[in-house]
Formats: sequence, C-alpha cells, structure tokens
Amino acid sequence: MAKTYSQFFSGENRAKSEQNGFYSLTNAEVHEELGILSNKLDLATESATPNEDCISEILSNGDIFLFSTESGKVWKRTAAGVYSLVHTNTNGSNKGCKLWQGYLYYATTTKLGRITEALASSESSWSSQNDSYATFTLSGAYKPMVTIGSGLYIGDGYYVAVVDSTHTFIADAFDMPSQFTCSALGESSDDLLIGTIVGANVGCCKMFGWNRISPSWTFEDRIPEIGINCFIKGDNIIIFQAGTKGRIYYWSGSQGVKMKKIKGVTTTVNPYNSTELEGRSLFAVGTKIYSLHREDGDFPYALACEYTASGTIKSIIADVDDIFVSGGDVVAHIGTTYATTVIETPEAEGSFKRVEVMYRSIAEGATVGIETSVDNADYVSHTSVVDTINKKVSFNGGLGKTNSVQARITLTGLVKIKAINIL
Amino acid sequence: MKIAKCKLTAGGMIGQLSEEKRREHSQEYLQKLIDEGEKIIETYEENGYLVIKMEE
Repeated sequence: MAKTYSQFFSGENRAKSEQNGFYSLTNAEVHEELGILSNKLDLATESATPNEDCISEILSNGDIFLFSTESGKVWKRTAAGVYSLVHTNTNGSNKGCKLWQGYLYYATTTKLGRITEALASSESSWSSQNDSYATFTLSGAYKPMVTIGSGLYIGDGYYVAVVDSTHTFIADAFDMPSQFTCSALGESSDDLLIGTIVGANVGCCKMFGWNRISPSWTFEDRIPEIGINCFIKGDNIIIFQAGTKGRIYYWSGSQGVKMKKIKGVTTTVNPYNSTELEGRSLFAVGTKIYSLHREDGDFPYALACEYTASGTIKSIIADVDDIFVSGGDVVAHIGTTYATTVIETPEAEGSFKRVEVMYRSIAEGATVGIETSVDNADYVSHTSVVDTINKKVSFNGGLGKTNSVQARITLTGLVKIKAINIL
Repeated sequence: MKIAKCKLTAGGMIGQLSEEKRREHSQEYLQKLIDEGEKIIETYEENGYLVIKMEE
C-alpha cells in the first residue's frame, strides 16, 4: 500500500517507525506555507571578526555587542552590519551579558561590568565602562542572566545575584543547597526559574522556582537529566533543553514535563543558545539551529533543523529579520543563497517499487536527489527524472524485493515540494 | 558611588542559613571586596541587608 508523507508541519518524529512527521529535516522550511516544504537560506559568514566564540546582546538601537567567551574582547556590530573591536574586559573571558535599565551589563566568572547603553554604542573604543562594577560571591562557572520585573538576575554558583532598578547589586538574593550550580535562568510570569546542574557525572538536577519575594524558593522539581542547559525563548510557553541526549521539556507551572527529543545529538550547558526570529523559537545544538514552532494553535509544536553553521555554535541572537550565530570562531547570519535541504522519511513497511517527490516548483538550476534505504541498509542513490507534466520527480528502475523502504530527498537551489510518495 | 548588598535575614536554604550564618557570610563578602581593592565609603544595616557603599 502506497505511503504518502506530506505533513511537513509536524516536523521531526521520534523514530524511523513513527509514520507521523519525518525522521529528519535539515535546513528545511516547513511553516511558511501549509503543505509545502522548501529550502531555507543558508548561513553565511558576515565578518572575519569576531574570530572568537561569543555570547551576545542587542541594544535598543539595534547594535549588537558580542562578548568573547575565549578572552575579554568585546565587539560591536552596528545595525548596518559593521563590526569593530570596542573593548577588552580586564577581568578575562566573558560569561554573560544583558541589557538592563539603560546599562549593558557583562559578567566574567568573578566580576560584573557595565557601561551605559548610549556610550556602549557611541564610543568607538570604550572608555566609560567599569569592568568591576560588582563582585560575585562564588565565582560560579556559568553566568546566565534574565530580567524580570524590577531586576536583572544573574546566576553565580549556588547563588543568584540581582541588580535592582536603582543598580544596586545584591550578591546573594537567592541561594540553593551548595551542591547545585545555577546553569540557566528563565521566567514564568513574574517568577524566576533557576535551572541547575550538580555535576557532569550526576544524572539528575533540579529546577527551582522563586517568586522573588519569599526568603526561599517556592517550588522545586527534580529533573532526571545531567543539567538544565538552556531556556528556549517562546511566547506563552516555557520550554527548556536539558541533559546530554537532546531532551526538551516544557514547564507546567510547577514541574518540568517531557516534550520532545532531538534524535542523535549531544547537548551541554549553553544558556545563550536560544532566540526568537519572527515569532519562531530557535535554539542551537552543536552545529544545527532548530526551530520549535507551530504556525497557529491548531498545529502541534514541530521540531525542525532550519540552519546549519560551519562550527559548534556558542550563541544565537536575532534582530527583526536576521540571526547572528557565533560559532567556529566566526559570526554567521542568514545569507542570500539557498542551503542544501535534506529530508528523511519514516520507514515504510511493505513491498514498494519506487519513490516520487511531488513538487510545486523547481527553480532554474535547482535539483531534487532521491536515495533509498531498503530493509535498513545504507542509502543507495538513484538518477532523478523530472516529469514536468505531472510535477513529480522519480527514478527509473525498481527497488527489488523490499520489506521496508526509507527515502532520503536532497534539495539544492530552491525547490518547493508537496509530498513524498513511496509506492 | 556604587552599592552592593548582602542579606542578613534568616531564610534562603531552609534551616541552614540562620541570621548568624548570614551575618558571617556578609562579613566575608565585605572582606573580599576590601581585599580586591574596593574603596569602601560606608557600611550600614538597612531592611535586613548589609549595605556597602563604594567608590565607583
């Protein structure tokens, strides 16, 4: 019996055998038009500098500041796309950064620095900054930052520090049992969510919730993962990525609940690896940037890889219509040429003879490649034949005897496809 | 001038951070600032915090 795979908006599924969704989607646009999958634009290097991995923050005027995590260097990217080195933090490599109440704050392991938002942009070489505005108590390894209500909250080991609205630094606004280290910070309404890690060799951690008024946390949940790696920015849903196996959880209001799993990846603490672009939640894992998105409330949240970078990604940040990706010692952004898109279908059980890709359009010079894996063997490439009358791409010859068939489709240039049929 | 604060009231990690422990921590933090060369203008207690005013 023929199998048709066309629900691209479902994103990646959980296993080859799951017939809903796709086994993998790489550099794929699945949300722009219902029922259509097309190539995403690729990521292109925008500047040779910064030539170090960075975390970043965007100011009100669109200037983006990139803080090296390898050294104290700080670069500015103007809204017009011009990069310049503006400062070197005298306290060493940068661990966190956030705009708060007219100041750009940045943290090393031991110190919190700041500069006014206006002067951060206007000084071609910073002179008005204070790299040692405040001193952390514990010199915690991670410095996630989040703003809620009237405070900038900063993780510092088993403490959370806060800079209040008058820029007073409270070193120990919140404290946890000392075995926990704050690895990521998030928000749930006006509550602070504190993601933790105990250690790389401990298989569980906790999420603490604090209403920011009580002397201690107001709820906690044990998460059976090595650590909370990153809160994923999203509207009306609180999502976080945890552990080393690609699991994604949502926050129910009092507990973390399993939501998705990215197959075949290794994940680590990286609190600056998430952003939102045009309403889509994006987060980076390794060299890939995934979206976790649904176009409206009738659809399921779909996981799909939208972009691939040249190196392991350290941070991503978006402006209005572009993303800036630091990784592999370059900053990349959305380019002007189309990426190579790869789609793997689920494994179809039964006897099949061919694969057809139904398309809407194939731009001049674009190609559709078809490979098949029969009975879970290695993929075998076929010579594609384009039928412009019936708007489908297939191949000549059969597949022999099959118990199961999986198709891998590769799109270069700009191709819009409607369905993949295994017949 | 810049201001840092440390909590003095009991609480936080339940049952462990007594006010006495908090005060000990806050004095350790003050000493850390002095050791790192911060110029202390004044310190005082206010609303359950040790307030440390420093030259910026």
